[in-house]
Amino acid sequence: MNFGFTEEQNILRKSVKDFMEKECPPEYVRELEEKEEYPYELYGKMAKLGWLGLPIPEEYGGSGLGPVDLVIMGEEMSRFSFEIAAGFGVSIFCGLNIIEHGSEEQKKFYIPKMIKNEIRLSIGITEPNAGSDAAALTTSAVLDGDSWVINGQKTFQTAADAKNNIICLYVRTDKNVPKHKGISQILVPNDTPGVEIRRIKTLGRKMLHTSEIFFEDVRVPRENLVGELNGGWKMLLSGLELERLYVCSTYIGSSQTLVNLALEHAKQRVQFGRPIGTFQAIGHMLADMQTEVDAARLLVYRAAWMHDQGMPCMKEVSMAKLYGSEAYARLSNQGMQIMGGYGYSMEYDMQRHFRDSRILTVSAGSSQMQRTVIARQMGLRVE
Amino acid sequence: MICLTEEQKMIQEMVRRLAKEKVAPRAAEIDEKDEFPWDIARIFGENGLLNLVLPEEYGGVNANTTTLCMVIEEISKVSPACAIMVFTTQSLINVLRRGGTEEQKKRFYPRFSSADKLCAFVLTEPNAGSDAASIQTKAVLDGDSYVFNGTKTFITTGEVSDFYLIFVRTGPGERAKGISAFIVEKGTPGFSFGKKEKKMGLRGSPTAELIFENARVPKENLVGKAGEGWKVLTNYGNLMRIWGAASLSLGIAEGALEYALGYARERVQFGKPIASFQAIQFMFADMAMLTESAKSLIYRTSAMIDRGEPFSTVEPMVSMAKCFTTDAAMKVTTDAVQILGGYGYTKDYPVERMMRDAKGVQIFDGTNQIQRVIISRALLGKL
Repeated sequence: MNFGFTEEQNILRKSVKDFMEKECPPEYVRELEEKEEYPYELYGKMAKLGWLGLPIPEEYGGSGLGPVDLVIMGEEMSRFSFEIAAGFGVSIFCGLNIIEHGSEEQKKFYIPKMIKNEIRLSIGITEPNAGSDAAALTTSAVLDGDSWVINGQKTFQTAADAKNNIICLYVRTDKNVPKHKGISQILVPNDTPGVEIRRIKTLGRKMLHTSEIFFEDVRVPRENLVGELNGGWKMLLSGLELERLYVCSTYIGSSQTLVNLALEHAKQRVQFGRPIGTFQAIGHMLADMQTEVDAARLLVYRAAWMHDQGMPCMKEVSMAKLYGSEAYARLSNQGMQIMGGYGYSMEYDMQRHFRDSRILTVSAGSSQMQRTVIARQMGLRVE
Repeated sequence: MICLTEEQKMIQEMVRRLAKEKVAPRAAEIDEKDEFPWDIARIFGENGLLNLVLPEEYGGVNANTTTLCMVIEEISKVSPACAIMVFTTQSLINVLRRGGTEEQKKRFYPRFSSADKLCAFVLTEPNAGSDAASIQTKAVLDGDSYVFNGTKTFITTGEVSDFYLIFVRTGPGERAKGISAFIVEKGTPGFSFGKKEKKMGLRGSPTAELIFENARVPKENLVGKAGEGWKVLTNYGNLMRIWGAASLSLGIAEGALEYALGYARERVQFGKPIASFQAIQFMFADMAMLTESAKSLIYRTSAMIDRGEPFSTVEPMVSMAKCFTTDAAMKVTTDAVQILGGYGYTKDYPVERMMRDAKGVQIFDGTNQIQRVIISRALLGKL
């Protein structure tokens, strides 16, 4: 057993922490959230340091960092803001998917721009009637001459309305085969004529935005198809372990920060003549909370290590996702309870954790879907 | 289980209809704008809901605890924010009815009934939350009036109310022994309002700061004896939680359960309604068990209070009902959001609002931690 990190990894962790402390203080996060603004500027600063290319292979202008490094980044960024850490991953994992499946021209065109923060990439899968059952998607693309003509509707699209964003859109290109076999990935710039993006009002995710997208006779060039025609389902699943692993890492930094907030409050707040943290009910609640954060962290680290070793780890990643998201949501509820009326007030950050964490047991594969994956990996034919 | 009289059944039917026809269509807007719904206050007034506790000769129905529980429950199914104005208003009238002098009743009753005035219950201060006995707002007798100085915070239905039941320090004793209760009217010189809290939930139910700067309150407005405010607070105030926070959260849980059931029957994934999956079915079974248990606890307790069982018997029952029901509502609403998935997280569906409201009730009306203090003290005695 070795729970340590390499020297380089320790340096990476420290530089992310130093950068975020300087560039992303709590006031900045509150302001962006209040204004519901995408963090263009902060990502621009990260791009200058080369961070938007950290996990991208060196031949496409990146640094080729591995899963453990990614987890370190996600954890450290999310200590300052869950959304900023989550948004960081949105483009990068779409980019990695293009590197895995796209043509050489696509890679050379999109990836350097993404690394430089000139464009963003977002993923387009979910539809009103295709949520957990993603393969039921019906948005269609039909080849007409040299272009694809796209019609249909997507929903719950994270960060789709950001400036210069390319939607990595999953569409139905063959209706006459089993549902998994007729799906393709096509790149659609979000300002293409016929694309209409409507913001959905949500409880959290205020910086990145959640939108519906309507496609009406949207035409994009034929060469925007990624990889093989009707090979989309495979692409949708590929890289899922790494992506989900990164997503989990953003839960643990956020969870740690909220526990720190509650702990600080419990030390400062005096009732009945002493700090409320000295009451056993509160002290034990905080002990449980920190134990949960550490359990979530260790599940993520284990899965990252396995991934780094090239071992199959879908079950372990799903466990980290299930436990980490449920823990973050539960902890934010307890943290708010400890802070009482102050926690419920919009002046303090605790309510943001409560709001942001609530969707995480739904997004990126709901807890129910994670349980199904885990149970199947245990040899159960769960429907 | 719950034996209602003919009159109670009629009231229940009327409130249910009113809630459905008048309140439900406004619930989302009230939350969104966070503005006090004067239109609903008027409707409640016209239908007698602001005077339930008053004797019949003053236009009330002499409502007992069970009636109040039922009314708050029905309104809260659609909008706890609206139910709260009924709660705080009846709280003051209820204290006056039980603890006021004949002179005070004669003086105030006609004023409540003639113009449907709203009332608020004022205890909390910045440094006296759960530790209510440490309040510092002072009232000093000077001639025929008491002079008030200090600040109250997190006051529900503050600013919009005309009458305030205020707990202040008069001496002679320390802590709980030096507290008195007064009725103070809005418009009293030296009595003003500070900032209005921005809250995560229960929006539309204002939470205000009250400021007293040499405000003079006639000494005839003292409720009970000087220095006996703590008795007023515990004997009457503590029991009101059964129709306050407990019944509010019962309504929230029932509203969320009903909505989620309707959704799960309609929502199709993997070719069938999600209600046909066992994981969802069992979630519903758990939600129903929690809700029904809470309901049984509330109405058993309200029946005990209405039968006149001793305070020492009913006080811990009320705390159990408050703590259990609010925790149940938190769980049920969180599960409802989970069942609705991405839709549940949007402002287009009511369950995220219900979840935010449920969290507030775990904190307000005595935190659940304080309820546990009351319960354990009843079991163990003061150690």
